[in-house]
Amino acid sequence: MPNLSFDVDHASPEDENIGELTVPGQPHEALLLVLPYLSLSGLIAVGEACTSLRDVLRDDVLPWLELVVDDPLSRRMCDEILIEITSKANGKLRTLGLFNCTKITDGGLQTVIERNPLINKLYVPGCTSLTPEGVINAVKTLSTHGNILQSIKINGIYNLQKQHLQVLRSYVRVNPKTLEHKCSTHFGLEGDCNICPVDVEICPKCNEVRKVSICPIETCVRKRDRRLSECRGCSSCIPRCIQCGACVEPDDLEEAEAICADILCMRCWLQLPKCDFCNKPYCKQHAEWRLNPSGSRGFVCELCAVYEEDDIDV
Amino acid sequence: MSSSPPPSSAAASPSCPKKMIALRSSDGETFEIEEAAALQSKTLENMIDEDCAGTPIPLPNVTGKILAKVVEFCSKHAEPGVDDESLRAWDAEFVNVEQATVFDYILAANFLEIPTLLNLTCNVVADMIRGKTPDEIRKFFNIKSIFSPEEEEEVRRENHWAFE
Repeated sequence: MPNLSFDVDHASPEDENIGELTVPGQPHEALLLVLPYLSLSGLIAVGEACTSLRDVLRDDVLPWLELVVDDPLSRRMCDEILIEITSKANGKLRTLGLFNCTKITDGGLQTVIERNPLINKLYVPGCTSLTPEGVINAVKTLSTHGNILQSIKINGIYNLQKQHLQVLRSYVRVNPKTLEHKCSTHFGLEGDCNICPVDVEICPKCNEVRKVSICPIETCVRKRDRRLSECRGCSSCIPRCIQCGACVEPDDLEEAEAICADILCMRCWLQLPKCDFCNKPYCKQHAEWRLNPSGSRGFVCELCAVYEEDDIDV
Repeated sequence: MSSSPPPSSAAASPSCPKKMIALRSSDGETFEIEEAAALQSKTLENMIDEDCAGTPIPLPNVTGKILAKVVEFCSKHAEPGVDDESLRAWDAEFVNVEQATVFDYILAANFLEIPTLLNLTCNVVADMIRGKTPDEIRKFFNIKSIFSPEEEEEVRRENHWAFE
């Protein structure tokens, strides 16, 4: 007799999920289609949520073809576990995404590469145990047998020099569309462009291998004031607004201060709500840190909140 | 002073009207969609090639309610001259619906092979899953867990490295 009971104890009027289910209690079939879009932490959580999803993850190759290891698993990912997890792709892994996986070594990476010759997206930003030579070896191996790399991310690998970058570039497919693409709008924490074939280049100002972007504004402040034809450089050379990517001049750096210490341009700064006490804003990404004092429509930042508590007793 | 004509079939003039394709939902409703918009669906693209001229294409897997929205999505994405930011904002509004509807969109996008819609909707649900514990996932998607104590122990052992 099938179990048709509905979990009424946990249902509430606000629950969106009281809908028509094909089988009550079983995951909706659409969830199966979502699996390939999950990072590793999502796959693990979903596999622990119910037996049918666990079975799909055990028996199906599709969810494992675009592996993304990010927070909170990055620092726990080691060579041994990586080799085991990637084996679930049965040699057909297409994307290897290791974000800030500081324990992964050249040897571990090479083993995964050799067992998965079809990888066409290799993302190892912030994998600080890797060496440029290790990455080059991996890319070389992937480029044999007619496989062509579409994109690589290597920002944060230590000791990356110009010559390494040149070698790596030569192995990545040159798609005419991506040649014209100049990264400008992707900023802040996510700063991740999936169009650029290589995420780093030589900064025209400091000559180091960095993430370089151009100003999203046609006639930006720097171009105007310094009569430049382009506003292009790494984040150390040209401070940029975390919200819109516009360059920020030294004066505005002082004036347009944010509580979260992120850089804002004056235009974005003016549009953000400010703390009642110190008149500084949080950037959009940290907006949830705003504290609302009772009865007011404004907010108090966590630094000023300390003083506000003291005032109440007065 | 002549420039080449725009390549997309969305360009229309009195002598060359936009070609409309008729679709029929599972519950018998008929919808019209411009060919350019319909081509976003690989399924429809194949059917149009086979030239089922005139007769509405039957889509037994998609209800009228959902098909109407899918037509809206494809039409918007076939519109010329929409900048990236506006389209992103429009997409965000489009998926700002209840969970059951997003699931229906996913199934429709999969059946009709519309990569843009599938990516958009699956990413929405992936975002809902991100950061949730298994228990929170069960509650959110109304899933009943039927792990035996042995199975629970096994899965915990397998994933122990993720929680150290």
